[in-house]
Amino acid sequence: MFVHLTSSFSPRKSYDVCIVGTGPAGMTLALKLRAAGLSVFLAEGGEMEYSDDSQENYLGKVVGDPYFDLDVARLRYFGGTSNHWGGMCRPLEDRDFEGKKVSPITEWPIRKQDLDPFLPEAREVLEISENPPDTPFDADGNLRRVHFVFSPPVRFAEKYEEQIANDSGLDTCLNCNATAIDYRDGRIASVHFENYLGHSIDVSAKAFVLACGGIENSRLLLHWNRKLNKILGGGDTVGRYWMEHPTQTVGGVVFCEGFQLPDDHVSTPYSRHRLYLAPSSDFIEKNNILNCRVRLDRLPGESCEAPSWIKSLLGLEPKRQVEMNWVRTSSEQEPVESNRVALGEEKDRFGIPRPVLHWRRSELDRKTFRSVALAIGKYFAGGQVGRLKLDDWVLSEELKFSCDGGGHCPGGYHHTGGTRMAHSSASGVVDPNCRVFGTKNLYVAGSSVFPSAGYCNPTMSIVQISLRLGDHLAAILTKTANLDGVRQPKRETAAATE
Amino acid sequence: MVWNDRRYKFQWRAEPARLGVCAKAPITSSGIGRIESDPAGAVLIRACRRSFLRGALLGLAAFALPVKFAKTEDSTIIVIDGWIISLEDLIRSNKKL
Repeated sequence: MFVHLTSSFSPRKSYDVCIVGTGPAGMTLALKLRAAGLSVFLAEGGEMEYSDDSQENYLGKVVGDPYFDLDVARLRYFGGTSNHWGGMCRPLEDRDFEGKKVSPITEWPIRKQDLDPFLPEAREVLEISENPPDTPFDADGNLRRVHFVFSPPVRFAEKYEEQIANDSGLDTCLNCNATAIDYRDGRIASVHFENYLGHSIDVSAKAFVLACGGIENSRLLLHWNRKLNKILGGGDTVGRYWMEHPTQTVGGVVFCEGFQLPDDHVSTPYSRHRLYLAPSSDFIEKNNILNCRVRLDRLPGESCEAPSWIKSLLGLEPKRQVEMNWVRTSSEQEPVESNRVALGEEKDRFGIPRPVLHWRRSELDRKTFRSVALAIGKYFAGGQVGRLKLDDWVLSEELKFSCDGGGHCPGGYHHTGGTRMAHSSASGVVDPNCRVFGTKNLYVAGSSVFPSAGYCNPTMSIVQISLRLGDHLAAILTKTANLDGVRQPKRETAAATE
Repeated sequence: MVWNDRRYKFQWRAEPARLGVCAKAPITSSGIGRIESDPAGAVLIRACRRSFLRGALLGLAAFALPVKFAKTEDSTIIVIDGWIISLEDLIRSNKKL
Protein backbone atom coordinates (compact mmCIF):
# COMPACT_ATOMS: atom_id res chain seq x y z
CA MET A 1 0.00 0.00 0.00
CA PHE A 2 1.03 3.60 -0.37
CA VAL A 3 1.89 5.36 2.86
CA HIS A 4 2.66 9.00 3.46
CA LEU A 5 5.56 10.42 5.36
CA THR A 6 3.67 12.63 7.77
CA SER A 7 3.90 13.18 11.48
CA SER A 8 1.09 10.69 11.96
CA PHE A 9 2.74 7.85 10.04
CA SER A 10 4.52 5.18 12.08
CA PRO A 11 6.42 2.55 10.19
CA ARG A 12 6.47 -1.01 11.44
CA LYS A 13 8.87 -1.82 14.24
CA SER A 14 10.97 -3.59 11.65
CA TYR A 15 10.62 -4.73 8.06
CA ASP A 16 12.35 -7.66 6.49
CA VAL A 17 13.81 -5.46 3.78
CA CYS A 18 13.95 -1.71 3.21
CA ILE A 19 14.56 -0.70 -0.41
CA VAL A 20 15.55 2.81 -1.48
CA GLY A 21 14.40 3.52 -5.03
CA THR A 22 11.42 2.48 -7.15
CA GLY A 23 12.99 2.10 -10.59
CA PRO A 24 13.26 -1.23 -12.41
CA ALA A 25 15.79 -2.50 -9.84
CA GLY A 26 13.94 -1.47 -6.68
CA MET A 27 10.45 -2.34 -7.82
CA THR A 28 11.43 -5.70 -9.29
CA LEU A 29 13.21 -6.59 -6.06
CA ALA A 30 10.32 -5.43 -3.86
CA LEU A 31 7.81 -7.57 -5.72
CA LYS A 32 10.13 -10.56 -5.73
CA LEU A 33 10.52 -10.30 -1.95
CA ARG A 34 6.80 -9.92 -1.49
CA ALA A 35 6.24 -13.07 -3.52
CA ALA A 36 8.48 -14.80 -0.96
CA GLY A 37 6.28 -13.49 1.86
CA LEU A 38 8.72 -10.91 3.23
CA SER A 39 7.64 -7.50 4.48
CA VAL A 40 9.09 -4.60 2.53
CA PHE A 41 9.41 -0.86 2.96
CA LEU A 42 9.90 0.75 -0.46
CA ALA A 43 11.01 4.38 -0.51
CA GLU A 44 10.76 6.77 -3.44
CA GLY A 45 12.35 10.21 -3.19
CA GLY A 46 10.00 11.71 -5.74
CA GLU A 47 6.25 11.79 -6.07
CA MET A 48 3.81 9.76 -8.12
CA GLU A 49 4.40 12.13 -11.06
CA TYR A 50 7.29 14.24 -12.23
CA SER A 51 8.02 17.37 -10.20
CA ASP A 52 10.78 19.95 -10.47
CA ASP A 53 11.13 19.83 -6.68
CA SER A 54 12.24 16.23 -6.81
CA GLN A 55 14.17 16.37 -10.07
CA GLU A 56 16.22 19.26 -8.74
CA ASN A 57 17.93 16.77 -6.41
CA TYR A 58 19.54 15.20 -9.47
CA LEU A 59 21.58 18.26 -10.39
CA GLY A 60 25.31 17.72 -10.54
CA LYS A 61 28.47 18.58 -12.41
CA VAL A 62 30.32 16.79 -15.16
CA VAL A 63 34.08 16.97 -15.53
CA GLY A 64 35.86 15.62 -18.60
CA ASP A 65 34.21 14.82 -21.91
CA PRO A 66 30.93 16.51 -22.79
CA TYR A 67 28.04 14.60 -21.26
CA PHE A 68 24.33 15.03 -20.66
CA ASP A 69 23.27 17.22 -17.76
CA LEU A 70 22.85 14.86 -14.84
CA ASP A 71 19.27 15.98 -14.17
CA VAL A 72 18.17 15.14 -17.71
CA ALA A 73 19.73 11.71 -17.93
CA ARG A 74 17.44 10.18 -15.29
CA LEU A 75 14.04 10.66 -13.69
CA ARG A 76 13.27 11.00 -10.01
CA TYR A 77 9.71 9.88 -9.37
CA PHE A 78 7.73 6.70 -8.90
CA GLY A 79 8.97 4.17 -11.45
CA GLY A 80 12.29 5.97 -11.81
CA THR A 81 14.01 6.14 -15.13
CA SER A 82 11.71 3.48 -16.57
CA ASN A 83 9.38 6.44 -17.15
CA HIS A 84 11.39 7.44 -20.22
CA TRP A 85 12.98 4.12 -21.07
CA GLY A 86 13.17 3.25 -24.78
CA GLY A 87 12.49 -0.46 -24.21
CA MET A 88 15.51 -2.09 -25.91
CA CYS A 89 16.31 -5.47 -24.39
CA ARG A 90 19.10 -7.93 -24.78
CA PRO A 91 20.87 -9.87 -22.05
CA LEU A 92 24.61 -9.45 -21.57
CA GLU A 93 26.71 -11.90 -23.56
CA ASP A 94 29.00 -14.63 -22.21
CA ARG A 95 32.08 -12.65 -23.21
CA ASP A 96 30.85 -9.63 -21.26
CA PHE A 97 31.44 -11.45 -17.99
CA GLU A 98 34.98 -12.47 -18.86
CA GLY A 99 38.14 -10.47 -18.34
CA LYS A 100 39.46 -9.28 -21.69
CA LYS A 101 43.15 -9.47 -22.48
CA VAL A 102 43.16 -5.76 -23.24
CA SER A 103 41.32 -4.87 -20.02
CA PRO A 104 41.31 -7.68 -17.43
CA ILE A 105 39.32 -5.56 -14.98
CA THR A 106 36.24 -6.14 -17.13
CA GLU A 107 35.83 -9.53 -15.45
CA TRP A 108 32.75 -10.19 -13.32
CA PRO A 109 32.91 -12.45 -10.25
CA ILE A 110 29.84 -14.21 -11.63
CA ARG A 111 29.09 -15.63 -15.05
CA LYS A 112 26.20 -15.40 -17.46
CA GLN A 113 25.00 -18.80 -16.23
CA ASP A 114 24.39 -17.23 -12.82
CA LEU A 115 21.89 -14.81 -14.33
CA ASP A 116 20.36 -17.08 -16.99
CA PRO A 117 17.93 -18.79 -14.56
CA PHE A 118 16.26 -15.38 -14.14
CA LEU A 119 15.78 -14.73 -17.85
CA PRO A 120 12.23 -16.12 -18.15
CA GLU A 121 11.06 -14.10 -15.14
CA ALA A 122 12.79 -10.99 -16.44
CA ARG A 123 11.03 -11.42 -19.77
CA GLU A 124 7.69 -11.58 -17.97
CA VAL A 125 8.47 -8.39 -16.09
CA LEU A 126 9.54 -6.59 -19.26
CA GLU A 127 6.89 -8.22 -21.46
CA ILE A 128 9.29 -9.37 -24.12
CA SER A 129 9.97 -12.51 -26.10
CA GLU A 130 13.27 -14.33 -26.49
CA ASN A 131 16.01 -12.63 -28.45
CA PRO A 132 16.56 -14.42 -31.79
CA PRO A 133 19.97 -16.10 -31.96
CA ASP A 134 22.94 -14.26 -33.44
CA THR A 135 23.89 -15.16 -36.98
CA PRO A 136 27.18 -14.73 -38.88
CA PHE A 137 27.06 -11.72 -41.15
CA ASP A 138 30.19 -11.59 -43.31
CA ALA A 139 32.29 -14.23 -45.02
CA ASP A 140 35.40 -13.23 -43.05
CA GLY A 141 33.73 -14.07 -39.74
CA ASN A 142 34.39 -10.60 -38.39
CA LEU A 143 30.79 -9.62 -37.83
CA ARG A 144 27.60 -11.14 -36.54
CA ARG A 145 24.06 -9.97 -36.72
CA VAL A 146 22.53 -9.45 -33.29
CA HIS A 147 18.95 -8.85 -32.31
CA PHE A 148 17.28 -6.74 -29.69
CA VAL A 149 13.71 -7.21 -28.60
CA PHE A 150 11.53 -4.31 -27.57
CA SER A 151 9.52 -3.96 -24.41
CA PRO A 152 6.23 -2.01 -24.96
CA PRO A 153 8.13 -0.38 -23.02
CA VAL A 154 7.00 -1.35 -19.54
CA ARG A 155 6.52 1.67 -17.29
CA PHE A 156 7.02 0.12 -13.89
CA ALA A 157 4.83 2.68 -12.15
CA GLU A 158 1.86 2.08 -14.41
CA LYS A 159 2.29 -1.67 -14.48
CA TYR A 160 2.58 -2.22 -10.75
CA GLU A 161 0.79 0.72 -9.13
CA GLU A 162 -2.42 -1.17 -8.44
CA GLN A 163 -0.64 -4.28 -7.19
CA ILE A 164 1.41 -2.17 -4.81
CA ALA A 165 -1.62 -0.18 -3.65
CA ASN A 166 -3.39 -3.38 -2.67
CA ASP A 167 -0.45 -5.03 -0.95
CA SER A 168 -0.51 -4.52 2.81
CA GLY A 169 2.89 -6.16 3.20
CA LEU A 170 4.57 -3.58 0.98
CA ASP A 171 4.67 -0.09 2.45
CA THR A 172 5.56 2.26 -0.39
CA CYS A 173 6.36 5.77 0.67
CA LEU A 174 6.65 8.67 -1.77
CA ASN A 175 8.59 11.88 -1.17
CA CYS A 176 10.74 9.78 1.12
CA ASN A 177 14.42 10.63 0.79
CA ALA A 178 17.14 8.54 2.41
CA THR A 179 19.49 10.94 4.11
CA ALA A 180 21.30 9.10 6.91
CA ILE A 181 21.95 5.67 8.33
CA ASP A 182 22.21 4.23 11.81
CA TYR A 183 25.29 2.03 11.51
CA ARG A 184 26.28 -0.36 14.27
CA ASP A 185 29.17 -2.81 14.06
CA GLY A 186 28.90 -3.48 10.36
CA ARG A 187 25.13 -3.59 10.41
CA ILE A 188 22.68 -0.95 9.30
CA ALA A 189 20.03 -0.69 12.02
CA SER A 190 17.87 1.91 10.33
CA VAL A 191 17.74 4.46 7.55
CA HIS A 192 16.60 8.00 8.17
CA PHE A 193 14.15 9.41 5.61
CA GLU A 194 13.03 13.01 5.14
CA ASN A 195 10.49 14.72 2.94
CA TYR A 196 10.33 18.25 1.55
CA LEU A 197 8.05 19.42 4.36
CA GLY A 198 10.42 18.57 7.15
CA HIS A 199 8.83 15.33 8.28
CA SER A 200 11.13 12.42 8.90
CA ILE A 201 11.09 8.78 9.96
CA ASP A 202 13.58 6.06 10.81
CA VAL A 203 12.92 2.73 9.18
CA SER A 204 14.38 -0.43 10.69
CA ALA A 205 14.84 -3.60 8.71
CA LYS A 206 16.86 -6.78 8.62
CA ALA A 207 18.36 -5.84 5.27
CA PHE A 208 18.64 -2.61 3.31
CA VAL A 209 19.03 -2.19 -0.42
CA LEU A 210 20.16 0.88 -2.32
CA ALA A 211 18.45 0.89 -5.69
CA CYS A 212 18.70 4.56 -6.61
CA GLY A 213 20.48 4.34 -9.94
CA GLY A 214 23.98 4.44 -11.34
CA ILE A 215 24.93 7.76 -9.80
CA GLU A 216 22.89 7.98 -6.60
CA ASN A 217 24.02 4.61 -5.24
CA SER A 218 27.61 5.83 -5.28
CA ARG A 219 26.69 9.28 -4.02
CA LEU A 220 24.85 7.99 -0.96
CA LEU A 221 27.60 5.51 -0.07
CA LEU A 222 30.25 8.21 -0.44
CA HIS A 223 28.20 10.58 1.69
CA TRP A 224 27.63 8.06 4.45
CA ASN A 225 31.28 7.03 4.39
CA ARG A 226 32.27 10.64 4.88
CA LYS A 227 29.81 11.17 7.73
CA LEU A 228 30.71 7.97 9.54
CA ASN A 229 34.40 8.06 8.74
CA LYS A 230 33.85 4.48 7.64
CA ILE A 231 34.65 2.60 4.53
CA LEU A 232 31.38 1.04 3.47
CA GLY A 233 32.30 -0.90 0.39
CA GLY A 234 35.90 -1.55 1.25
CA GLY A 235 38.71 0.62 -0.01
CA ASP A 236 38.70 3.64 -2.19
CA THR A 237 36.61 2.03 -4.90
CA VAL A 238 33.19 3.55 -4.18
CA GLY A 239 32.14 5.71 -7.13
CA ARG A 240 35.00 4.53 -9.34
CA TYR A 241 35.01 2.62 -12.62
CA TRP A 242 31.88 4.44 -13.68
CA MET A 243 30.88 3.68 -17.27
CA GLU A 244 28.52 4.56 -20.07
CA HIS A 245 28.02 3.10 -23.51
CA PRO A 246 29.99 5.55 -25.67
CA THR A 247 27.63 6.23 -28.55
CA GLN A 248 28.19 8.15 -31.74
CA THR A 249 27.40 8.34 -35.42
CA VAL A 250 30.60 7.32 -37.19
CA GLY A 251 29.52 7.73 -40.78
CA GLY A 252 26.99 6.72 -43.38
CA VAL A 253 26.44 4.07 -46.01
CA VAL A 254 25.20 4.54 -49.55
CA PHE A 255 23.86 1.34 -51.04
CA CYS A 256 24.12 0.04 -54.57
CA GLU A 257 21.20 0.38 -56.92
CA GLY A 258 18.45 -2.00 -55.93
CA PHE A 259 20.10 -3.35 -52.78
CA GLN A 260 17.78 -3.92 -49.86
CA LEU A 261 19.23 -3.99 -46.40
CA PRO A 262 17.80 -6.78 -44.25
CA ASP A 263 16.24 -5.30 -41.19
CA ASP A 264 14.39 -6.23 -38.05
CA HIS A 265 11.25 -4.43 -39.20
CA VAL A 266 11.20 -2.51 -36.00
CA SER A 267 9.30 0.71 -35.83
CA THR A 268 10.10 2.90 -32.86
CA PRO A 269 9.76 6.58 -32.09
CA TYR A 270 13.35 6.97 -33.26
CA SER A 271 13.66 4.97 -36.42
CA ARG A 272 11.73 2.85 -38.83
CA HIS A 273 14.31 0.22 -39.64
CA ARG A 274 17.38 -0.96 -37.89
CA LEU A 275 20.02 -3.55 -38.42
CA TYR A 276 22.34 -4.40 -35.56
CA LEU A 277 25.80 -5.85 -36.04
CA ALA A 278 28.48 -6.76 -33.53
CA PRO A 279 32.05 -8.04 -33.80
CA SER A 280 32.67 -11.77 -33.47
CA SER A 281 34.65 -13.10 -30.51
CA ASP A 282 37.58 -13.81 -32.82
CA PHE A 283 37.55 -10.27 -34.11
CA ILE A 284 37.41 -8.84 -30.59
CA GLU A 285 40.35 -10.97 -29.53
CA LYS A 286 42.42 -10.44 -32.65
CA ASN A 287 42.02 -6.69 -32.54
CA ASN A 288 42.34 -6.32 -28.76
CA ILE A 289 39.13 -4.35 -28.44
CA LEU A 290 36.01 -4.42 -26.30
CA ASN A 291 32.49 -5.39 -27.28
CA CYS A 292 30.48 -3.10 -29.50
CA ARG A 293 27.32 -2.90 -31.52
CA VAL A 294 26.67 -1.04 -34.73
CA ARG A 295 23.25 0.14 -35.75
CA LEU A 296 22.35 0.88 -39.32
CA ASP A 297 19.39 3.18 -39.58
CA ARG A 298 17.63 3.46 -42.85
CA LEU A 299 15.79 6.73 -43.01
CA PRO A 300 13.71 6.87 -46.16
CA GLY A 301 13.42 10.33 -47.57
CA GLU A 302 16.74 11.55 -46.22
CA SER A 303 19.18 11.92 -49.03
CA CYS A 304 22.65 13.26 -49.59
CA GLU A 305 25.09 14.05 -52.35
CA ALA A 306 27.66 11.31 -52.68
CA PRO A 307 30.65 12.12 -54.88
CA SER A 308 30.24 11.02 -58.47
CA TRP A 309 33.06 8.48 -58.28
CA ILE A 310 31.25 6.68 -55.47
CA LYS A 311 27.98 6.77 -57.41
CA SER A 312 29.84 5.35 -60.35
CA LEU A 313 31.18 2.49 -58.24
CA LEU A 314 27.70 1.75 -56.98
CA GLY A 315 26.09 1.84 -60.41
CA LEU A 316 24.07 4.93 -59.60
CA GLU A 317 23.27 7.74 -62.01
CA PRO A 318 25.58 10.73 -61.43
CA LYS A 319 22.71 13.14 -60.82
CA ARG A 320 20.66 10.86 -58.66
CA GLN A 321 20.01 11.80 -55.05
CA VAL A 322 21.10 8.92 -52.86
CA GLU A 323 19.79 7.77 -49.54
CA MET A 324 22.14 7.90 -46.60
CA ASN A 325 21.98 5.17 -43.97
CA TRP A 326 23.50 6.28 -40.72
CA VAL A 327 26.01 4.05 -39.00
CA ARG A 328 25.99 4.45 -35.24
CA THR A 329 28.10 2.62 -32.72
CA SER A 330 27.46 1.99 -29.07
CA SER A 331 30.20 0.17 -27.30
CA GLU A 332 31.43 -1.28 -24.06
CA GLN A 333 33.49 1.29 -22.20
CA GLU A 334 36.86 0.51 -20.69
CA PRO A 335 36.44 0.51 -16.88
CA VAL A 336 38.85 3.20 -15.74
CA GLU A 337 39.48 4.10 -12.12
CA SER A 338 39.51 7.83 -12.81
CA ASN A 339 36.00 7.75 -14.29
CA ARG A 340 34.01 8.18 -11.13
CA VAL A 341 31.23 9.71 -9.14
CA ALA A 342 32.62 12.06 -6.49
CA LEU A 343 31.04 14.44 -4.00
CA GLY A 344 31.00 18.11 -4.91
CA GLU A 345 31.02 21.20 -2.74
CA GLU A 346 27.42 22.16 -3.41
CA LYS A 347 24.70 20.40 -1.42
CA ASP A 348 21.13 19.48 -2.16
CA ARG A 349 18.17 20.44 0.03
CA PHE A 350 18.88 17.55 2.37
CA GLY A 351 22.48 18.57 2.92
CA ILE A 352 23.89 15.78 0.77
CA PRO A 353 26.72 16.90 -1.54
CA ARG A 354 25.73 16.94 -5.18
CA PRO A 355 27.60 14.53 -7.44
CA VAL A 356 30.51 15.41 -9.66
CA LEU A 357 30.82 12.95 -12.50
CA HIS A 358 34.31 12.52 -13.91
CA TRP A 359 33.97 10.89 -17.31
CA ARG A 360 36.34 10.51 -20.24
CA ARG A 361 36.54 8.12 -23.12
CA SER A 362 39.85 6.39 -23.76
CA GLU A 363 41.92 5.42 -26.77
CA LEU A 364 40.66 1.87 -26.29
CA ASP A 365 37.08 3.13 -26.45
CA ARG A 366 37.79 4.78 -29.79
CA LYS A 367 39.82 1.87 -31.11
CA THR A 368 36.87 -0.40 -30.34
CA PHE A 369 34.28 1.36 -32.44
CA ARG A 370 36.75 2.38 -35.13
CA SER A 371 37.95 -1.20 -35.68
CA VAL A 372 34.39 -2.42 -35.96
CA ALA A 373 33.41 0.41 -38.30
CA LEU A 374 36.37 -0.40 -40.55
CA ALA A 375 35.34 -4.05 -40.62
CA ILE A 376 31.85 -3.06 -41.69
CA GLY A 377 33.27 -0.75 -44.34
CA LYS A 378 35.40 -3.60 -45.62
CA TYR A 379 32.35 -5.82 -45.81
CA PHE A 380 30.47 -3.26 -47.87
CA ALA A 381 33.43 -2.61 -50.13
CA GLY A 382 33.90 -6.31 -50.79
CA GLY A 383 30.84 -6.68 -52.96
CA GLN A 384 28.10 -4.89 -54.75
CA VAL A 385 26.35 -3.84 -51.59
CA GLY A 386 27.32 -0.29 -50.82
CA ARG A 387 30.12 1.89 -49.57
CA LEU A 388 30.67 3.32 -46.11
CA LYS A 389 31.97 6.80 -45.49
CA LEU A 390 33.52 7.39 -42.09
CA ASP A 391 33.41 10.84 -40.56
CA ASP A 392 36.80 12.55 -40.50
CA TRP A 393 37.20 12.52 -36.73
CA VAL A 394 36.89 8.73 -36.58
CA LEU A 395 40.16 8.35 -38.46
CA SER A 396 42.02 11.28 -36.98
CA GLU A 397 45.32 10.48 -35.32
CA GLU A 398 44.59 12.44 -32.18
CA LEU A 399 42.06 11.11 -29.71
CA LYS A 400 38.90 12.77 -30.85
CA PHE A 401 35.19 12.23 -30.47
CA SER A 402 32.33 14.05 -32.09
CA CYS A 403 28.61 14.30 -31.68
CA ASP A 404 27.99 15.89 -35.09
CA GLY A 405 25.76 13.01 -36.06
CA GLY A 406 23.31 13.62 -33.23
CA GLY A 407 21.23 10.77 -31.89
CA HIS A 408 22.08 9.40 -28.47
CA CYS A 409 25.60 10.87 -28.50
CA PRO A 410 27.76 10.67 -26.40
CA GLY A 411 26.07 7.92 -24.40
CA GLY A 412 22.94 5.89 -23.99
CA TYR A 413 21.88 7.32 -20.61
CA HIS A 414 23.27 4.04 -19.31
CA HIS A 415 24.88 4.76 -15.96
CA THR A 416 26.88 1.74 -14.92
CA GLY A 417 29.60 0.99 -12.39
CA GLY A 418 30.55 2.97 -9.32
CA THR A 419 29.67 0.21 -6.88
CA ARG A 420 31.22 -2.59 -8.88
CA MET A 421 30.85 -6.24 -8.00
CA ALA A 422 34.05 -8.11 -7.13
CA HIS A 423 35.41 -11.03 -5.13
CA SER A 424 37.00 -8.72 -2.59
CA SER A 425 36.98 -5.15 -1.39
CA ALA A 426 40.38 -4.64 -2.98
CA SER A 427 38.75 -4.30 -6.37
CA GLY A 428 35.08 -3.75 -5.75
CA VAL A 429 32.32 -2.39 -3.55
CA VAL A 430 29.85 -5.27 -3.41
CA ASP A 431 30.33 -9.02 -3.31
CA PRO A 432 28.85 -11.44 -5.87
CA ASN A 433 25.55 -11.31 -3.92
CA CYS A 434 25.49 -7.50 -4.13
CA ARG A 435 26.26 -7.08 -0.44
CA VAL A 436 28.38 -4.04 0.36
CA PHE A 437 31.82 -5.05 1.65
CA GLY A 438 32.25 -4.14 5.29
CA THR A 439 28.57 -4.47 6.07
CA LYS A 440 26.40 -7.39 7.02
CA ASN A 441 23.07 -6.24 5.70
CA LEU A 442 23.51 -3.43 3.16
CA TYR A 443 23.04 -4.33 -0.49
CA VAL A 444 23.07 -2.52 -3.82
CA ALA A 445 20.80 -3.26 -6.77
CA GLY A 446 21.05 -1.86 -10.27
CA SER A 447 23.60 -1.26 -12.98
CA SER A 448 26.01 0.41 -10.55
CA VAL A 449 27.16 -3.09 -9.58
CA PHE A 450 28.25 -3.93 -13.15
CA PRO A 451 32.06 -4.39 -13.29
CA SER A 452 31.79 -3.96 -17.06
CA ALA A 453 28.80 -3.27 -19.22
CA GLY A 454 29.12 -4.95 -22.62
CA TYR A 455 27.13 -3.07 -25.25
CA CYS A 456 23.62 -4.24 -24.38
CA ASN A 457 21.13 -1.81 -22.89
CA PRO A 458 21.27 -2.49 -19.16
CA THR A 459 17.61 -2.68 -18.09
CA MET A 460 17.20 -6.37 -18.79
CA SER A 461 20.35 -7.25 -16.85
CA ILE A 462 19.27 -4.92 -14.04
CA VAL A 463 16.03 -6.86 -13.72
CA GLN A 464 17.87 -10.20 -13.80
CA ILE A 465 20.30 -9.13 -11.09
CA SER A 466 17.45 -7.77 -8.97
CA LEU A 467 15.57 -11.05 -9.24
CA ARG A 468 18.74 -12.91 -8.26
CA LEU A 469 19.24 -10.60 -5.28
CA GLY A 470 15.60 -11.18 -4.32
CA ASP A 471 16.19 -14.92 -4.31
CA HIS A 472 19.32 -14.49 -2.21
CA LEU A 473 17.66 -12.23 0.36
CA ALA A 474 14.60 -14.43 0.57
CA ALA A 475 16.82 -17.43 1.21
CA ILE A 476 18.88 -15.86 4.00
CA LEU A 477 16.01 -13.97 5.63
CA THR A 478 13.78 -17.01 5.64
CA LYS A 479 16.53 -19.08 7.25
CA THR A 480 17.35 -16.38 9.77
CA ALA A 481 13.87 -15.81 11.05
CA ASN A 482 14.67 -12.94 13.32
CA LEU A 483 17.72 -10.76 12.95
CA ASP A 484 16.34 -8.12 15.25
CA GLY A 485 17.88 -9.79 18.25
CA VAL A 486 21.42 -8.82 17.38
CA ARG A 487 23.35 -7.16 20.13
CA GLN A 488 23.03 -3.42 20.28
CA PRO A 489 26.50 -1.86 20.09
CA LYS A 490 27.42 1.76 20.47
CA ARG A 491 25.28 3.84 18.16
CA GLU A 492 26.83 5.86 15.33
CA THR A 493 24.58 8.02 13.24
CA ALA A 494 25.31 9.61 9.91
CA ALA A 495 23.31 12.80 9.94
CA ALA A 496 22.39 14.42 6.70
CA THR A 497 23.59 17.85 7.60
CA GLU A 498 26.94 18.97 8.97
CA MET B 1 5.62 8.54 -20.16
CA VAL B 2 7.70 11.66 -20.16
CA TRP B 3 9.17 12.96 -23.38
CA ASN B 4 10.08 16.36 -22.14
CA ASP B 5 12.30 17.80 -24.83
CA ARG B 6 14.06 20.10 -22.44
CA ARG B 7 14.87 17.34 -20.04
CA TYR B 8 15.43 14.65 -22.60
CA LYS B 9 17.66 16.29 -25.09
CA PHE B 10 16.95 14.04 -27.95
CA GLN B 11 18.61 15.38 -31.04
CA TRP B 12 16.87 13.35 -33.65
CA ARG B 13 15.11 16.27 -35.22
CA ALA B 14 18.37 18.10 -35.62
CA GLU B 15 19.76 15.40 -37.81
CA PRO B 16 18.61 16.57 -41.22
CA ALA B 17 21.26 19.23 -40.74
CA ARG B 18 23.72 16.47 -41.44
CA LEU B 19 22.48 16.04 -44.95
CA GLY B 20 25.19 16.87 -47.37
CA VAL B 21 27.91 15.43 -45.22
CA CYS B 22 29.09 13.49 -48.22
CA ALA B 23 29.86 16.69 -50.02
CA LYS B 24 31.76 18.12 -47.07
CA ALA B 25 35.10 17.37 -48.67
CA PRO B 26 34.59 18.62 -52.21
CA ILE B 27 36.74 17.20 -54.94
CA THR B 28 37.90 20.36 -56.63
CA SER B 29 41.55 20.23 -57.52
CA SER B 30 44.31 17.81 -58.26
CA GLY B 31 46.80 16.44 -55.82
CA ILE B 32 48.80 13.50 -54.69
CA GLY B 33 47.49 11.01 -52.18
CA ARG B 34 49.47 9.89 -49.24
CA ILE B 35 49.51 6.61 -47.44
CA GLU B 36 49.35 6.29 -43.71
CA SER B 37 49.41 3.34 -41.44
CA ASP B 38 46.45 3.30 -39.14
CA PRO B 39 46.92 2.06 -35.55
CA ALA B 40 44.24 -0.53 -36.22
CA GLY B 41 46.41 -1.99 -38.96
CA ALA B 42 44.63 -0.54 -41.95
CA VAL B 43 46.34 1.38 -44.68
CA LEU B 44 44.66 4.70 -45.15
CA ILE B 45 45.05 6.60 -48.35
CA ARG B 46 44.14 10.17 -47.80
CA ALA B 47 43.51 12.31 -50.83
CA CYS B 48 40.69 14.70 -51.38
CA ARG B 49 41.52 16.15 -54.76
CA ARG B 50 40.07 15.68 -58.20
CA SER B 51 42.66 13.16 -59.31
CA PHE B 52 42.96 11.60 -55.91
CA LEU B 53 42.75 8.08 -57.23
CA ARG B 54 45.61 8.60 -59.61
CA GLY B 55 47.42 10.33 -56.80
CA ALA B 56 46.72 7.43 -54.51
CA LEU B 57 48.17 5.03 -57.00
CA LEU B 58 51.22 7.21 -57.35
CA GLY B 59 51.42 7.15 -53.60
CA LEU B 60 51.23 3.38 -53.62
CA ALA B 61 54.06 3.29 -56.11
CA ALA B 62 56.11 5.60 -53.95
CA PHE B 63 55.63 3.32 -51.01
CA ALA B 64 56.60 0.06 -52.73
CA LEU B 65 53.50 -0.84 -54.63
CA PRO B 66 53.86 -4.64 -54.66
CA VAL B 67 54.07 -4.81 -50.88
CA LYS B 68 51.00 -2.68 -50.51
CA PHE B 69 49.17 -4.76 -53.08
CA ALA B 70 50.02 -7.91 -51.20
CA LYS B 71 48.79 -6.38 -47.99
CA THR B 72 45.66 -5.14 -49.68
CA GLU B 73 44.87 -8.55 -51.04
CA ASP B 74 45.22 -9.92 -47.57
CA SER B 75 43.30 -7.67 -45.23
CA THR B 76 44.09 -4.08 -45.92
CA ILE B 77 41.33 -1.54 -45.88
CA ILE B 78 41.60 1.41 -48.22
CA VAL B 79 40.07 4.65 -47.10
CA ILE B 80 39.86 7.64 -49.41
CA ASP B 81 38.23 10.77 -48.14
CA GLY B 82 36.58 8.68 -45.50
CA TRP B 83 35.09 6.29 -48.07
CA ILE B 84 36.11 2.70 -47.48
CA ILE B 85 36.71 1.05 -50.82
CA SER B 86 38.27 -2.09 -52.18
CA LEU B 87 41.37 -2.39 -54.28
CA GLU B 88 39.15 -3.27 -57.19
CA ASP B 89 37.33 0.00 -56.66
CA LEU B 90 40.61 1.84 -56.75
CA ILE B 91 41.67 0.28 -60.01
CA ARG B 92 38.27 0.61 -61.63
CA SER B 93 37.96 4.23 -60.72
CA ASN B 94 41.50 5.02 -61.78
CA LYS B 95 40.86 3.59 -65.20
CA LYS B 96 37.98 5.96 -65.65
CA LEU B 97 40.05 9.01 -64.82
